[in-house]
Amino acid sequence: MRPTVLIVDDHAGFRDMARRMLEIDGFEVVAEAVDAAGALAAAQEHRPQLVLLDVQLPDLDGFAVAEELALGAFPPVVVLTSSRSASEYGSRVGRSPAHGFVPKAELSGPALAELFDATP
Amino acid sequence: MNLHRPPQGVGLAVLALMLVGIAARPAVVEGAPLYPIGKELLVGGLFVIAGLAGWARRPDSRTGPLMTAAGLVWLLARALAFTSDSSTVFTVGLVLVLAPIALIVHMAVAFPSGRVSSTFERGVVISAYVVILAGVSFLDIARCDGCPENLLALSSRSGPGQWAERAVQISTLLSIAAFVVALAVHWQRGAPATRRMFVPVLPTAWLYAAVSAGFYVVELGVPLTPTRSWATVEYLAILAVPIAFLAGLLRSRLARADVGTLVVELGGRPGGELRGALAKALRDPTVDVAYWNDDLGGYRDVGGNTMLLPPAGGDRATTTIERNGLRVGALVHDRALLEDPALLDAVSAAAGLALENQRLHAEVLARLEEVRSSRARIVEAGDAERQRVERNLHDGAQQRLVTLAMALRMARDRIGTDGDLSLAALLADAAEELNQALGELRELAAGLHPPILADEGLEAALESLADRSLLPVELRLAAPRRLAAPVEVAAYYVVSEALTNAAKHAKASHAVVRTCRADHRLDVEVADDGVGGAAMRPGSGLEGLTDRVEALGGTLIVQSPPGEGTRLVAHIPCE
Repeated sequence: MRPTVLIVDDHAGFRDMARRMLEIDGFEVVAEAVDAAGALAAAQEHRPQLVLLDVQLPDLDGFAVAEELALGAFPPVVVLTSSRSASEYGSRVGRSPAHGFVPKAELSGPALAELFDATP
Repeated sequence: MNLHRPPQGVGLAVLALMLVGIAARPAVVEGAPLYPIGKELLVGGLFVIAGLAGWARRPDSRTGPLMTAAGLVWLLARALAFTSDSSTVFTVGLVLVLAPIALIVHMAVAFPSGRVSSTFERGVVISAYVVILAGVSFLDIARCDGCPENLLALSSRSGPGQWAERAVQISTLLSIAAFVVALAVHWQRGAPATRRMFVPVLPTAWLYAAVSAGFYVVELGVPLTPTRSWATVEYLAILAVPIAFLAGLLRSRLARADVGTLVVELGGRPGGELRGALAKALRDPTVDVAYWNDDLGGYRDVGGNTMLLPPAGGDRATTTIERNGLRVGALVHDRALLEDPALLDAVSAAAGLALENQRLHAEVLARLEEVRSSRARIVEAGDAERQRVERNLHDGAQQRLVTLAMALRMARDRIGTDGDLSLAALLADAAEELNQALGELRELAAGLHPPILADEGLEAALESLADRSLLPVELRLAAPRRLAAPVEVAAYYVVSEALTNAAKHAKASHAVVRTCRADHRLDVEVADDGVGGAAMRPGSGLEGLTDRVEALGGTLIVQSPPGEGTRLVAHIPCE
């Protein structure tokens, strides 16, 4: 069974490319969202096993969305992503309940799979 | 100061000398006794000299001309009365003999301006002229043997003539009493400046009035015997009159010396207490300063409230203060000070200087504040622009290039499985090159305006900065609370610039960053162990930092002796 994924990013180009990459690498992209509100609604509806979550969103930021998701009944594995490096966010990445951070430039199916498999 | 010698002074002096010559001719040429006429001429001469001197010193006062006129009339009377055998000439001379006394009364009551200021005073002066000029005509005061006949004298010393004489004597005494009272009222109502000038005049005038009154009392039949010493006192009293009036006029010049002190005082403290200094110089504790306001089209008081000037004709008078022909304010003062227009002119000129000074001082402060805030605005506008560019880079080029890098990696992975190894290597190189470009772009964007600073505050931003720095950085941070955005941004750039310099130019191997908050001030210090020798050069990064810190009212200190590392300290005020 392929792991189900929700992609959250306000850039259509990135969502499109990430969907193609992840589907090639064995994930099933069940939904896409462009902002925090859409992300929470889609997570509720589709119960994805993994959420690829951009830090910079038009409404709330990715850290806040990760906290909301972690409080849900079936919390998904959340992987934060950004075109910035993790160090530019200081200790926020470490303090977040998200399971990992992958810079967009290094995003790949195996990198996500590794984080997903490491989660119990 | 308006101090010009009256041009008519020389002519009048020559006229006085001619009169002296005519009056003294019988004594000098015909061997008549010199003593009595010399005594008389001394008095007249003294009046002329003191009058001309007072006229020169106080051209705005009529006292000088009045005193000169008194002297000339005195001399003319002697020249006519003592030198001609003609009864007509002798009679005219007699009429003029006592005329100077009316002029003295006029001078004293109208002192120091020479202008009478009330109906009562005007009445006293007019009655003096009438009583003295009319009265003398009937009184046969020059009862000397061998003198020509007084054509106006009442020949009979009995009957209606005696009554007329009595009437003149009584009205003269009443006149003298009114004169004494007028002087007392004049003193009472005078401003301190006027009283100051009045000090030598008042006792002299009273003394002369008392001595004169004495003669008339005797004439009325009171059993007092005029003695020789009485006449001496009278003579000394009349001699003292011109001296006292001149001294009074000169005292106003002494008062004007206070204006010099005033100018010095006001110059010493531009924001100083103007009103107090003016009150002291004018000797009028009630003086007030009104500040002209062009926008308002009216006056304000020192507190900025609208101020109405007192109506004309009241106890309070107004003197406009002008500077370069423009109204800058007004002095509201005791009406009596109008009697010394020269003093008012001088004080209002000094006040004009002071107001101008105050205005310039306030203007400089306002300009300074303008410059300071425009400097802060420039820095803030620059920051906003950097933030906008960073956001644009992040949302635009960075996103597209990241997506492109993902596409390249996907292409490389797919070719790798199909077996075209050279194409796969080319794609891998392209992906690697793109990653390098992305890394540089990310650093550039982070240097422009780190989002973490606004999101997480100064300490988090400094931690992130230390993480990404090319040399090991030790952080000793003690300012955990959030500060105003401009303060955080300035502190961040101080550290960022210092660390960049330490790594790039100073070849440092280690740097320490300290922050500390105390007493509404944030202190930021960056010290490295590099080569030192950093200097504030025009257009350098350090100059930009100085602008940034000073725009917030702070200071930036650079200590960088060659060979001993660099220490950068910023003190930034904050709430």
